[in-house]
Amino acid sequence: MSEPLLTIRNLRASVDDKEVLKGIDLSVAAGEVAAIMGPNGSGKSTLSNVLAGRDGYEVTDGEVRYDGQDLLAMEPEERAATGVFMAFQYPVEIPGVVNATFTRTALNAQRKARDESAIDAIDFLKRARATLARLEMDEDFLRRDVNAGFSGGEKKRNEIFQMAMLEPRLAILDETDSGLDIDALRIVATGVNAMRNPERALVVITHYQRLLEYVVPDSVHVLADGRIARSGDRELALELERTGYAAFQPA
Amino acid sequence: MTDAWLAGQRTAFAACRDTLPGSGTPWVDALRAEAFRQFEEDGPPTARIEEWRSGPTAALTGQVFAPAAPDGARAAAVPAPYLEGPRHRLVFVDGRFSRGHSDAGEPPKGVRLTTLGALLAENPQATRDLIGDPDAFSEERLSRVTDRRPQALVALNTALASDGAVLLIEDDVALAHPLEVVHVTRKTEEPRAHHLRTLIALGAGARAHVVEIHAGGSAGVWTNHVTDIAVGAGARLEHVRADAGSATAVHVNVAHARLRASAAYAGFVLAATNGAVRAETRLALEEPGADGEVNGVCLAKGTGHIDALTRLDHHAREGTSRQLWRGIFADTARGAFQGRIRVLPDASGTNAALDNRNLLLNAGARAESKPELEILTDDVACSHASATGELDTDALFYLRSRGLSEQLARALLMEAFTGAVADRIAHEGVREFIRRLVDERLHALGSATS
Ligand SMILES: Nc1ncnc2c1ncn2[C@@H]1O[C@H](COP(=O)(O)OP(=O)(O)OP(=O)(O)O)[C@@H](O)[C@H]1O
Ligand SMILES: [Mg+2]
Repeated sequence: MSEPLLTIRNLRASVDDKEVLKGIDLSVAAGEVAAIMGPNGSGKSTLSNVLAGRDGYEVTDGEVRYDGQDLLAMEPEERAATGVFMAFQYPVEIPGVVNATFTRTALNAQRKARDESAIDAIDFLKRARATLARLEMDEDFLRRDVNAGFSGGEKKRNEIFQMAMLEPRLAILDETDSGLDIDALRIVATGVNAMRNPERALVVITHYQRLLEYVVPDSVHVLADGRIARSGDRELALELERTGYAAFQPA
Repeated sequence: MTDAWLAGQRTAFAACRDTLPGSGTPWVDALRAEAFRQFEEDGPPTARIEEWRSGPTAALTGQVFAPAAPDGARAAAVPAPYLEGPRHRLVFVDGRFSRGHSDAGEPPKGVRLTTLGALLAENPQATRDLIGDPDAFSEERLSRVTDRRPQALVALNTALASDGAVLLIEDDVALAHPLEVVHVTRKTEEPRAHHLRTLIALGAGARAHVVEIHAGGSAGVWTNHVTDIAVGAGARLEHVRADAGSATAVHVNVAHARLRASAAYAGFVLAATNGAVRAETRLALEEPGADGEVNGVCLAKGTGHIDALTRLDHHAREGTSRQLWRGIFADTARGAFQGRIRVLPDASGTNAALDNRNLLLNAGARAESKPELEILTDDVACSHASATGELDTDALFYLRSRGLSEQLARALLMEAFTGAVADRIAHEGVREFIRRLVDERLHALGSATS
């Protein structure tokens, strides 16, 4: 078997001298959908942020290989250009920056980094409109400032829109289902499923079985107290729904 | 230094008073002499004067600037027109009108577009009548309208003004295309001063867009530019001032506008420097229903220093005013914004808002924001907000996580921060020009620091 797209080995990371990730081991193959579940504060967002390259986290041990590269040695924008995407648990509002401009600038910055030609405004608009239509989002989204004044659900959908436009090879979705109404959840799930393909890996962080009914995972991992405490298939998610995390809490 | 500086100005005045426009005309000579006396009495600006507490006094009085002598022999690099589309263009090189570089076009009937020098040379007596109120030149007149505190540099400007644009518009006439006034300053080895005077008077119901741009320059150049503005009843003036030239010069820019009933003045200032800039805007909303807007973007890097000052006096009822200022300071630059709104006893129903925010890009940069409200009547709505912070690290990471380089991400956030100010410019062509210029200047700021 070839090397998995993402391999995390014994990853330890601290925030403000507090160890949050205490030796994570996880690999995700191309084509795989991996779900990560776990109690509040167990380190799920910290793991996503470390993978995306956010400042303020000190990696004290371990390594992360992505597509044969040392992911942790790369700047956030380099990670993005090689195909890493994180949908934020709390997308950031950026007043004054128009969503369309931002998304096209991002797309072209990534293309430039990969020595690909820029997408012109007209082609971009065509693609953006088609993507919005698929996600049942109003075209108005393009004209609005990035996430500014968006409802919680709209912000999450905007993340999915960006993912669909940027076509990453590794997408980490940090609680993209939280705050969505039932219809929005179905639409987002459809958007996520449309991204599934043999070249792409998806890491779906969620608290709820509901999303996983739509986006059926190949593997499920429980992150508790900074470690992967258990791994299994979709049955594990159903079991957690019944039993909760009591068994994984530190004594 | 102050004594030497004053002595330098005395020598300068003695040397050039006979060559200045209007010289030999008794009322002009008397006005200049009186203004110089006033300047001597007030003395050069020091930090002891409240309004100059955060001003670039050291940059100003640290070297003795002599007025630039006319020197047609040296070629000047005059930039191509800044505004796209139809425009009227007046170019001044080292403080004197340059006919060859100008293109006044054909202003409509009822519009007098000329220069201070030409006006005084053609017919000084008529000029006096045209200006109507020669006291409008004088420091005393300015002081009476706004503020009793010394404005020595305005007085010095009155004494030494070498030229400037003059735009006079009759009642109900609109200047459809914007007026672009460019002040080009040549590089200099010796410290040189340029005293420029712009006059704008709009009759009742008149309309105009005026853009004053400073270009060229170098360290050792001091420009002292005063723009006197009168906006007639129901008239509307959009007045944009922008630094497009050398960022190392010392630049003092004062606009003073008097607004009649329901007149509107919409001002925009772009100060961009790593030298020193003092940008003053003084509005007197003299009659009911006047509307004043004063917005600005201040960008400084290196050891740059920008001191922006606004004084909005609401004299009469139902006046409205808005101020939106954004500053970005890099390296060890410093910025100060002093914004005062005065609502006088007769100005009930006033609505005034002021909003100033600053970004510091480096630990060594500083910004000071000093809004002052002086309210002498009830029934007013005044608001002010000010804040100083750094670029939002969450937003930076969000942008970078989508593939934007750090430099691009910073530039985008800075554009967003300043964009709202430029967006308020009403004339589309002027707005586009200013957006481009701001972006260009932001780029210089970004590459200095990231
Ligand atoms: N910037 C930070 N400063 C201080 N503590 C932090 C910071 N980021 C994370 N932590 C701490 O690290 C721990 C893990 O947080 P993290 O956000 O990764 O949890 P999570 O598993 O995503 O939780 P949730 O399910 O609530 O989203 C928490 O105790 C949190 O308080
Ligand atoms: Mg989280």
